[in-house]
Parts: sequence; structure tokens; C-alpha cells
Amino acid sequence: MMSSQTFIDLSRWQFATTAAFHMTFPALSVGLAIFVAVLYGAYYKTGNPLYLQMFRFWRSIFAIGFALGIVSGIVLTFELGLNWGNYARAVGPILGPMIVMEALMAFFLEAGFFGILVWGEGRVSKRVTFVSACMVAVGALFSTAWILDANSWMQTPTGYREVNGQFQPTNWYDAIFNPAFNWRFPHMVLAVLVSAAWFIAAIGAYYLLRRRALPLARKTMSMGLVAAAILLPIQLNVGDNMASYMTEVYQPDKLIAAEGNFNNGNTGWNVFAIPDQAQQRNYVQISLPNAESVFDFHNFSGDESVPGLKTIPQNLQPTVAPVFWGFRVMIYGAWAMFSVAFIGVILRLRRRLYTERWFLRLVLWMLPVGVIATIGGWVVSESGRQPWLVYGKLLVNSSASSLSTGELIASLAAFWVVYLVLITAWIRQVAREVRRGPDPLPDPLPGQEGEESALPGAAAAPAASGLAVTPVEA
Amino acid sequence: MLFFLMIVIVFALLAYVVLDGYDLGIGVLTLFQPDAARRRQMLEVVGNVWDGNESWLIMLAMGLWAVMPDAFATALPGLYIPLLVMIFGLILRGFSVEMALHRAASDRTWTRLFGVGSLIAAFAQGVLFGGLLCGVTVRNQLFAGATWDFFGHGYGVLTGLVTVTLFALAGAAMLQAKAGGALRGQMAGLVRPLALVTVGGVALSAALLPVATSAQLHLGAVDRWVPFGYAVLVAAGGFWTAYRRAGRGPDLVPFLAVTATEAAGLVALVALYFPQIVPPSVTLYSAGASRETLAFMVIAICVFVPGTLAYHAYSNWVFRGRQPLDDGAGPGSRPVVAASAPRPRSAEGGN
Repeated sequence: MMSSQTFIDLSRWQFATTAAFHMTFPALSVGLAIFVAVLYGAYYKTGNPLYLQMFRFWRSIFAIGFALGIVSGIVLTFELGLNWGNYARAVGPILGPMIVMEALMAFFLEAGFFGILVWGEGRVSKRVTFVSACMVAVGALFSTAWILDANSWMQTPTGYREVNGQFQPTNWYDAIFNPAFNWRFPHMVLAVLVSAAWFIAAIGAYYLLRRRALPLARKTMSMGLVAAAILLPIQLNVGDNMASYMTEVYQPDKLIAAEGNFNNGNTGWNVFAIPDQAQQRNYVQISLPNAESVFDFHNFSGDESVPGLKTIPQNLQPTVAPVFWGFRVMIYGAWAMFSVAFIGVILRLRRRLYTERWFLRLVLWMLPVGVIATIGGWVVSESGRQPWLVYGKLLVNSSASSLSTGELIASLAAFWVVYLVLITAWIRQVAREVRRGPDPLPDPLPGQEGEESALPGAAAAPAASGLAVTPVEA
Repeated sequence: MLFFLMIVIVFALLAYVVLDGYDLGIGVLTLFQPDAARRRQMLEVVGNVWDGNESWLIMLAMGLWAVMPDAFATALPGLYIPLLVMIFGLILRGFSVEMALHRAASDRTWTRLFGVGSLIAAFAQGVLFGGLLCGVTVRNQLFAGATWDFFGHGYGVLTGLVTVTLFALAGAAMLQAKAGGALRGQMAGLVRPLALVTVGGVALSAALLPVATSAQLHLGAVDRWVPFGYAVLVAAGGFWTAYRRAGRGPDLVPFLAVTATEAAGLVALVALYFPQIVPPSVTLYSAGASRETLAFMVIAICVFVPGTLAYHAYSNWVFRGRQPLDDGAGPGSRPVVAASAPRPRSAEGGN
């Protein structure tokens, strides 16, 4: 029995929205895991209590996002089979082992040491805490690697044979190191690090604006911005080369859709377009002349162009709007992040980084940009693969389970409601932790005295240790 | 290889039932705990273990997907509703426990949601397990049944309730070993009534199974009824031990007894159902993946599972002893100065 088109469309919405929700948390927690490990490592090595204060503050923000990442990830592992039974049957022998590897190498590692990292302080030595922090970070990177691997195999399948409509591995090396993986893994690692770097820098900027916890604020923003300034040029380079050497070679349709031309020969780069796929044209199209030739082919003569969508049969074209706009969101986000990081470097050289309030406000606004750009990138990669589930081999339309649409609509509505509640609760919790501020240091550092006592609603109770000089909320 | 991997998957199922079973059970028990301080104490027992325990669920699901793709691709659509309900329950409780632990002890909402989520997840797991035992209609290697098939004319409700009481029993038994103070006595007192209710429920489910299921249950051959018989004896002995040793030391015995019962129950079901994986028509042999996949899985498991078990054992060792540990480093207290690791003083029950 063929599933109805409504069922397939709604299943795609379900997967897309739950995956985008999930992606928000790994996008932050992979970077935060590394940041937390670096902070504790710095404390372990130098004994500077400032690093310990930063570690404790960031650890508790990290922990709740990490929990949301875990539970929303469990959803995805089951969704692979729930609505997509035929897909699960077809790709299980190749993708199943990859995600088992993710569970074995990453989830167990993270979960085993996460408890020690978050609750073990005072019960284990500093060295064990540091090792645990490193293990959680390593686990997060392994997780990124394997999930990227499974997804990349669907983009550029290699090392398999087809038996009765099922993909079976013939060469694991080729399947694991498929062409897309080799580019997308570094691209994704950089993306999550950059996302976390802005999140970190923005919260540092918030404290600088509020003139609270200044030593922590300076160090936090500085570390975030340094990471962003180092990583962004690399990321722009990797992303650019990925489009040229991977997407263009192995997934030309995706690049065509991302550039959003219906006809051949536009050497300009579309800054803005409203595609009308039914009529095979753009309603509105604003191009930067000759820029596509430069951006996509590094050809400065300005006369090379990506082909138009009409070169692909209409039933095999990806839906242009999400690919085009996902790509624009990613690129514009990347340019914005690069510019702000560049300004930051200049201000730092002129020693005005911590005092220019307009810049601090700008950094605060950059808080979600990395995550948004990362999600934009995923929209490109997933909707640009359409109408294929396994590129060129398995159509989305022949991948679904035979189920009634009613239960799907109910579950879709439930996901949206629950996720809306969760993300609201998470944002409020992070805002609460940030407003409450870090626990004070044992010895007040210069410039910090008296700042936190202005905190509204702070109870005048001494902290647990009795060493606190400023009140904290119990 | 296939047989070895089937054992691994059954082991993952057992690990999940034993480990997440007790922490779901503790969640259910928080709903009936009138004392706020004790509720908090129960949450703290779950706080540093729940994510590791739930990793076994992912291992189970993805192992099944890799090794027996046909089973995964038919069982999930066939058990759609209970699976999704379970997922919502797990989302709710996983997020709530972290929220509750990172907020003040007076916070009631998240603690309550943690209990509700645990109850939903445990009940849904029972329903879906009952649905699986009753059988899933499969045609041309795809699910071809109806939406409410899993319900099994009400059999699912029975298995759902039994699972809730079984997990609550495991939770109470675990708290007898892990909780300090008045909570220990309170929970030890719950082990007996919960054990009795669970025994009754399990017996009733077992008696109704031949009527409810569309699968063939084999007990004729000697290699089936002998393991089945031993499993039933071990399960009965486990319940008996948990009942007898409730409230008495060594405090871990009731929990180990419940674990033995759960393991024996799974062995009994394997003896009844083998080689059906998604009864009645998807079997171990029809669902198995290709040779290259199986070889990869065997190597991956042999390389990584021992390490996994080792560091989970280490993590449990770090948090050995009773909660709350009186070293001032308990969850939520956010000590300002890291104490230089005093050993937990009341470690009598840990081993």
C-alpha cells in the first residue's frame, strides 16, 4: 500500500520540526562541553579561582541544555522507524550500525561522565573532574561525527549494494568515509563551536553591560570572541570549499536550488528572491552582478554560472524556497558573525573591547545567530536532498510507513505544544541563571565588590559555605 | 553471529528494564510521596543516573535497527501510539529532573512533572510490550495492521499496569539501598505490598497471554520447557526473596532479587517466542541484516561494550553510599568551595 501524500508531507514536517528543535541543543552543548572542559583545565593548571567560578556557572547552564539534547534525540532515533518504516528497512544495515557506534562511543561515554562532572565535585579529585569534563567533550564530538556520518551517507551513498530494495554494505571504509562526510564533519564541528562561542560571548557582554561580575564577564566574552575570531575565517573557507568540491560534484541539484535560478546563465548572485516553482520563475529577484561566478567558482572573470533549475525534470527538483533561504540565512549569519568578530579584534587591539557599549550590545544581539545559521545550513542540506531520501537512490515518497493520518496529526500537534513549552521553559531557566549570576568567589576580586548586592530579589542569606561575601538566592 | 547479536539485544533490553526501570519507578513513587524533602532526596538518586540508563534504550532501538531492520521497521509503526506516548513521557521526565535539581528545593511543578512523565513512560512501555507480545500484523515486510491493534482488546492495559507496579517495586527496592534517613524505612515498607501486587499482575498476564496473542507459543520441545521452567522458578524465587528481605540488610538484596526476576522473565519469554522477534511473522532469520553488517556489529560490540560497562561501574562507584551523602557536595547545594573529597560516611549498603 502506498502512503498518501498528506501523510508523507506531514511526516516530513514532523521530522523537520523535531530535528530542528533537537539541533538547537547539540549546537550549543558540544561547544559548551569543550568550553567547560577548558575552564576546568585552566583551573586545574593555574589554581585561579576565577576559572572555577566560570566553570560552575557554565556547567549548570550546560547541564540543562544537555538534558534537552538527550531527550529530544531519543525522539529522533524512534522517528526513523515510526513514520518511515520502509526507509528504516531499506537503510538499516548501513545506518543502523553507524548510530549504534554513536551510542557505544558517544552516548554511554557522555552519560557515564556527565554525572561525575555535574554532581561529582567534592567527591572525586580535581583530576577526575577534569578527565570527566574531557570525556563528556570527547563524547560530544564522537556523537557529532557519527550522526553526521549517517546523514552524509544519505547525501552521497557509497560502499553498498542493493538487494531487494535494501542497501547492504560492501565496503565499510567507503560507506563511513563517504565524500559528504569528509567535508561536512569539519564544517559541522566548526559550526557548533562558533554557535557556542557567540552564546558564551553574548552572556559575557550582558554582564559587562550590567557591570556585574566583571572579572568573569571580561574573561567570558574574551574567550568567546577569541574562539569566534579564530574559527570564523576557517569556517568560511571550509564552507566555501565544501560547496565547490563536494556539493557541486556530488549533489549538483542542491547547489542549483541554493542559488535559486530557474534559467541558465545568471552570473549574478541572488541576494533576494521569491521563487514561484509552479511557474518555474522568480517573482522577485535581486542579484549582485557577476558575484556567483566569483563565489561559486572563484572565477574572477565573472562569467561562470550555476545552471538553472529547468535543467532538472520538475518532479525531481527540490523545493527551492527552503533551500534558497536556508542557504541565505546561513551565509548572512556567517557574514554578520565574521564582521562582528573582526570589529572585536580591532577594538581589542585598541584596548576598547570591554568599554564600547554599542559593541557589547551588538555582541549580546549575536547570541542566537550561530544556532540560527547552523539550522539554516541543515535546512539546505536536508531540503536540498529532496525529493530523495538517499540521494539518487531512494525517493522520500516510497519511504513511509502505512499508517493513518489521524494519529500523525495528533502526534504532530503534541510535539509542537510540548516543544514550545520546553523551549520556553529552557530559555526562562537560562535567563534566570544568568540574571542570578555566578556564585561569588571566596575572595572578592578587585572591581567586584558590592556589585551583586544590587541584584533585585536576592535573599540576604549566606551561601552554604559561609564564606560568601555577597548574597545569593538560595 | 546473528544469535550472538540477538543475545546482545536481549541484554540491552534487560539492562534498560533493570536500570531505567528503577529510575522510572522512583519517579512514579514521587507522586505518592507527601514529604517535600524526601521527594527531593528521591530526585537526587535519579539525577546522576537517568541519562546513562536511557542510553540503553537507544542502544536497544538502534541495535535492533542494525541487526534486524525488518523487525525495527515493522514494530515501530505497529506500536505507534504507545511509542509516542512513551517518548513524550521520557521527554517530560528527563527535562523535569534536571530543571527540578537546578532550581530551589521548594519547586513543586517540575518535581510533579517528573513524576507524571515517569508514570506515563512506564505505563506506555508496558502497553507497547504487551502489544508486541500480542503480535503485529505484517505483510510484504511492512506493517499492515490497524492503529489500535497494540491495545490487544485490553491486554495492553494490563501489561501497562503490571509494568508500573514492577518498576515501582524496583524503585522502592533501589531506594532501600540508596536512600538514607527516614526515606529508607518508608521505601522498604513499600517493597512487600508492591511485590504482592506485581506477582498477582504477572501471573494474570501470563495466564491470559495464550488467549491474547496471535503468535505461536511453543513449549513442547525439551530445549524450551526446561529453560522456561527454570526461569519461572528463578522469577518466583526473586519475588520471594524481595518479599522476605524487604527492610532487612544487606539492603541491596531486594533490588538484586527484582533484577533476577526481570532477567528470568525475559528468558521465559525468549523460550516461548524464539525465533519470533516481532510476533507472529517476523523472525530472527527473516529479519536479519547482511553478513557485513553483522560482522561490523560483532566487532563494534566486542570492542566498546566492555569499556562502557567499566566506566559505568566507575560512575556508580563514585556515587556509592546513601543519598543524601553528607559531604556537603550533594546536587543542588552548589558549594562555593570544593571540599577536598571527604569519603561518604554511611556506605554500609553499597557494594
